[in-house]
Amino acid sequence: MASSSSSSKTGLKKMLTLKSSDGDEFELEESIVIQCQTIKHMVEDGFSLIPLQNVDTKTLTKIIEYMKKHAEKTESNKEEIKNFNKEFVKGSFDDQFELVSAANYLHINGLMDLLCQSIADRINNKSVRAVREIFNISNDYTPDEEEKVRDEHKWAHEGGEFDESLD
Amino acid sequence: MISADPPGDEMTNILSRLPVEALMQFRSVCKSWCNLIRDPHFVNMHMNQHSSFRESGYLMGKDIILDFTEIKECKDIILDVAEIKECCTLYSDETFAEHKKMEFPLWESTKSFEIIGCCNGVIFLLYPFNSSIL
Repeated sequence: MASSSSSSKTGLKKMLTLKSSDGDEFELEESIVIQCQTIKHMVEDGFSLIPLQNVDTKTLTKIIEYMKKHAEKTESNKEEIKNFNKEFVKGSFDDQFELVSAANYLHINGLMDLLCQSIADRINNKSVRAVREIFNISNDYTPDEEEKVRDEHKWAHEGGEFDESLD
Repeated sequence: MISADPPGDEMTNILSRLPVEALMQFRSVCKSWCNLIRDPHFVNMHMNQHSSFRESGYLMGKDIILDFTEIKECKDIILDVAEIKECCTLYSDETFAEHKKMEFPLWESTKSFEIIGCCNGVIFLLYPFNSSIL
């Protein structure tokens, strides 16, 4: 702790290298990367080259973009961060799933909250059929079983129009 | 890619943020979701998730719902057949925006009620049955 604060005072920032599963390396300041709990623990254990076998380059680029922006967070740029977050969650479901999986693996709590909430908001009004398609789930109910499950909470299926779109 | 069936950490986190209506509907998606949604740990997680968003409270007021269900059955008669049901409406105590109208299961018209308390979204109302004696 003492060494990192004194090095930042002298302008020498401690750098770390993140390596994606595709082998690409990204050099970043330690202060940006420690938002990520998994990496923070590795830094504490003395690592400076951090291989991320579960995160590909495309996903890691997005995650770095998020960490850089959020490292700038102050009281005065709340609106800017909010707009950034809004743009950040606009990708396809598959891209969002890759990101949420990486955020979970890397333990970036703020990003996990942001992504899970945005996916939840996007599927909230979807039909059961659309949800199965989006998450690539096959229906394992027999028609009788499905009918029974629906009947148990019939009111939940009568709430007007459900969204059948897959985006 | 995240594991959706059976639901992994990420999927469970996402589902815990959905309102109850959507969860009851999504029990039909597959068996593993149905099992998750009725799991007591998940129920707790869902409750914590939602109570942490709502620090503010609600105001409750007496209101009416016009029930137009009978119109479909008799096309020639308009509006008059709408049944007036008494209900209560929840308003946000910050913006006074209407949040939800709820029908009373045991409504007796003209009687007032007392709010005794609420816990985890269940509201305990008391109708003073023998108020005339008091």
